[in-house]
Amino acid sequence: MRGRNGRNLPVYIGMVVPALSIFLFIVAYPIIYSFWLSLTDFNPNRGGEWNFVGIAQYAKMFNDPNFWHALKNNLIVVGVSVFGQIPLGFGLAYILFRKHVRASGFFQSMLFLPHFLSTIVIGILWKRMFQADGPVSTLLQYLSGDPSAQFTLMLRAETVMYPIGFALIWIYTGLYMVIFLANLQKLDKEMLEAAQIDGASEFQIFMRVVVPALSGTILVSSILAIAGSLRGFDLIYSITTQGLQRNNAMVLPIFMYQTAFQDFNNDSRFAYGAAISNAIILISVSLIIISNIIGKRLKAGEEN
Amino acid sequence: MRANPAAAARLKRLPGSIASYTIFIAWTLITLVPLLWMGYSSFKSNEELTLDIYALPKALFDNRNDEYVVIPKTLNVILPYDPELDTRERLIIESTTIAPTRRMMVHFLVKDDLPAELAGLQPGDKLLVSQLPRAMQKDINRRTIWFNYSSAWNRGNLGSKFLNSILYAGVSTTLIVLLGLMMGFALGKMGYKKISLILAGLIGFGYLISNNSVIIPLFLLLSKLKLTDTHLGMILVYTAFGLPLSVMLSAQFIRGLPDSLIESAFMDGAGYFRMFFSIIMPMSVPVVTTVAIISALGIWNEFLLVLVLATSELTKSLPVGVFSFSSLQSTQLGWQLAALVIAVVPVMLVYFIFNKRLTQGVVAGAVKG
Amino acid sequence: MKRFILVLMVLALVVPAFAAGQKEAAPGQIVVKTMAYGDNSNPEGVNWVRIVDAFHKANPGIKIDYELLYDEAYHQKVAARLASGDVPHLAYMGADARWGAPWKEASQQFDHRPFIDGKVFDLNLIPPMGPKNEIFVLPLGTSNITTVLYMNEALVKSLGFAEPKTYEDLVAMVPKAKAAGLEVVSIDGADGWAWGSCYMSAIIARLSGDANWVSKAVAGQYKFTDQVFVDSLAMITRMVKDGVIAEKSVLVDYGANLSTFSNKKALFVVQGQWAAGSIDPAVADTTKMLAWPKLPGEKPAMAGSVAAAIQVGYGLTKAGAADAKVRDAALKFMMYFYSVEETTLRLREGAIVAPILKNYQVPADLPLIVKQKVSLAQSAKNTDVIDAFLGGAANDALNAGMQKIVTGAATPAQVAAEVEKLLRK
Repeated sequence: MRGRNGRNLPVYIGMVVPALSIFLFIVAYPIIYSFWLSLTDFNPNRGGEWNFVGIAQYAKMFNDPNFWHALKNNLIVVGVSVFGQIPLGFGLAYILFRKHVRASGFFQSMLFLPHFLSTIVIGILWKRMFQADGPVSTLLQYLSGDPSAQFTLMLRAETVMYPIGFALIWIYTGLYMVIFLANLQKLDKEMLEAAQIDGASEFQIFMRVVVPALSGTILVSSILAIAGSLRGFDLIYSITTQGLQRNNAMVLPIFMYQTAFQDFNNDSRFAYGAAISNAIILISVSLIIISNIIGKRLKAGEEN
Repeated sequence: MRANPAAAARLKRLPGSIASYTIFIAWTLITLVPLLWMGYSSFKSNEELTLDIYALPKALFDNRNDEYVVIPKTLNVILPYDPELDTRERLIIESTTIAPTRRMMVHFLVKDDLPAELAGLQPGDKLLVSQLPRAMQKDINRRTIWFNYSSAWNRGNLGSKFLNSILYAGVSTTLIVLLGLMMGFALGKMGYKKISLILAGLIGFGYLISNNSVIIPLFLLLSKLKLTDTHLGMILVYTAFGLPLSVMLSAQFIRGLPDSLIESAFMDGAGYFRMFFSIIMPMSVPVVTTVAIISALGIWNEFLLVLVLATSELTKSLPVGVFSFSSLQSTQLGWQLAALVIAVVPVMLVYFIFNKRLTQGVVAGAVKG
Repeated sequence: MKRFILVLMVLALVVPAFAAGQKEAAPGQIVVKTMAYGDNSNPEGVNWVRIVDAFHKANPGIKIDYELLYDEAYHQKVAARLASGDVPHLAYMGADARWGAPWKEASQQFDHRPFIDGKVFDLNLIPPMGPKNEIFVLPLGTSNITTVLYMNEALVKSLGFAEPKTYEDLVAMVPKAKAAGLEVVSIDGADGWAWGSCYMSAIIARLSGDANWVSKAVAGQYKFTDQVFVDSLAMITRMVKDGVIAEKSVLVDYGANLSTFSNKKALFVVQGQWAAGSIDPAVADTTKMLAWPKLPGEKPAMAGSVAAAIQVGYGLTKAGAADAKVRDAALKFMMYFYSVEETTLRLREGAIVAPILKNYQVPADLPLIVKQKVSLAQSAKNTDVIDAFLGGAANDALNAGMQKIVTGAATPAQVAAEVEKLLRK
């Protein structure tokens, strides 16, 4: 029964099939279904009749200012992740790595803590913090001496992404910090010492030795950040109140959710929602491919 | 002379050190202060929460002189005992300070245990906690202090949601680890290179898809199968979306195990399944830990899937339960904070106890994934 | 470890079966599949469970197999059950843009007229809901006033003022209130719906002089870009500028709004009649429920008017009415649910204002605030509530638009144009 090199088809199938069938059924099939759905006007509440409408849902999406607004916010979140969390996390990890502070274990576990908490809890907590006359506003009132001072950044479309970006940095920077720290610790210590003896400044060592050595980690972290940012729903959903605030801070997953499950006036809401979620998948896959290409280019550039 | 360069170096590093400490201490404070505020504020009364946002809790602790009013047994007073089994007469009193008239802070005092002048009180009569017998005072004191917590727990049905969260995280994680390891073993050590490559690619693509990207078709599909709002449906979905990472990490890890292990197992006449359970599984503990940590954490905190697929009390998990306290109609601000604390404390306990291991696990999963 | 895994896996298989098993009815029982509204944290939910338990005891042959949900989750589940074809027999529903839409879409609305007992219910109080005057649900009550101006009378008097007769009276309170660190009119401006339901519904009727301006506009008789609607929106700008409503109200949600009022930090609060039950009793005793005072530019015909809608309630679906046995069981339960005792309790707890029961006697010993509610409902002219007629994107745009006007992010004319555009699309 036993083949060479451990080959044995029945056993192979037996090992693969349970996981594969669940995966195909729950992940792969819905993707195909989603693609089909986005080309129709299917609404199960109407008794299952449907028409093929081609790319009408996509055309509608491209003409919908809400889509572009949500996309813009989503890209801001991606930006905050890639250009905020990652550099900050890297910087903090480097400080710990170079032992500029003691009790690094304590600081590490403190900064990493928010990542373990439910995003919903964090969203509700910060919503409370930012509320009118809430803790942050009260702090502003103490500091400014003006008893009517308010934290108003959550009010306006132009500024609402600042507090949200802050919360995102608060949650995720710790994750990138521990990832970078783990990889920094794998670095060749002698190389660093050699650079130091050569009289290189801390900054030079960081830029010339450390960053290039960790370019792979930076790339992986960026991909992680992009994928995570585009699917992010919980934080923005829970930190905002339904209405203008949530509209201002709208991101694609929330837009998709509200379209498909709440917009009863749109007869083909499920189909339209599917078009939006397909757009999310497409955007996130292409951003990941782009960052992969950039990463490879950079690496190739270094090697030459 | 020798010490000098070191001292000079230390001096040179001083500004950097100060800046570093400042950054880390500030960041730690920004992490801790909101959580601490949440913790102590959850013991404040609604009034205290509105009036002075930073003050420490007082009203619920200082309850000896709280006033209560005797109320009749109207339709909306829900008895905590079965009146057919327990026929002792009771005096029903309601607080006039904590959520008054809303039948939220109600005590049922057995009349036999009360002094005669209190047992004879009629609806509308008032009394102070300090007039009651010691044992009752003690009981009321405890229930007053924990008012926000017991209300959040009971009214929000957080107990069953807690169990659901444990069930989803526990069962799904088990399946993710086990099935992932099986498939990882097949892809990593059993040959069939071409099929394995295709399957790995397929599964790898799945890693880029999160459950909220396919929530609509998933919802329609599960609706049709009558799997929405069931434990089975939720577990299936969580398992499916946890598998890609598990398969990828397991395959990678098992591929790295020495072939000689398998060879020698075959020499001993072991079958595939025995080998899988007695050799591969024990050797894969590091990867199992990593996958289990990441999966369980993700499922414990997951929100959208439960929001869409689970609607009855029977299947909801903790995040949705907590969120329901911040919905449109919630006027009990203290309950909301208590619910947040209930959701956060177990995770924090686990985090601080298994800190090192959890951190390593997350890092391992993130970087290789 | 292995045994532990095994136990978990067995659990995974057993628990769903157990969960499904809980709903099993005894043989011979008539099962009424029901979607009820409420949750364990509110009186609606607690009362529902109590009523069903009592009904089961009295009627062992009937099983009310219910799902009890609230808010978002309820609407979510309605959509889900309709989509999966698992249509409930009895459900909490309405006939308007928000509460009726999914049932209408799935053609599950059922005309109750032949089955309503005219001796129990007052048919004059139940408005027609469909195009052929159908009645799709039994409302919990009528006169669901959405635009109440609650006044903390003691607080207003302590500043040396009296009940405001005109808008200018409100403006006159601003300096003293500010000096005392108090809000004048508090509103939960973070909730978009509050602006439409609880605020603008009153304003547009006052300024236009037409109680049914909104329904007529939705029907195409008026336009939302008409000057009178733009002027109504501009009233928000004016109130913010005058300090009557604070800009920060856009950060205040429902619970915080009522807490502010209950803790004597606001002279007035704007909400629907249902909020009366959530006001702290100490403050409620000194609270008066008012209509907005005379607004600048309001038409005399609508002086003192409030916006009100018919309440939602329980109704049979087509699926439930299809089987006569189930239908009769459901109707029997509804009679139990709308009984005089339960209706009186609902009135006392502040859930309803005016029952739809025939010859109903309002008890004399109602709490003060409930009495006020009833008298306001009887005395004030009723006008359209916006979101009873305007739904979907247009309504969302209006609500968000009013929040934008508060923060200065949009002008009234822009908001009006947006609503009109989305409505006629």
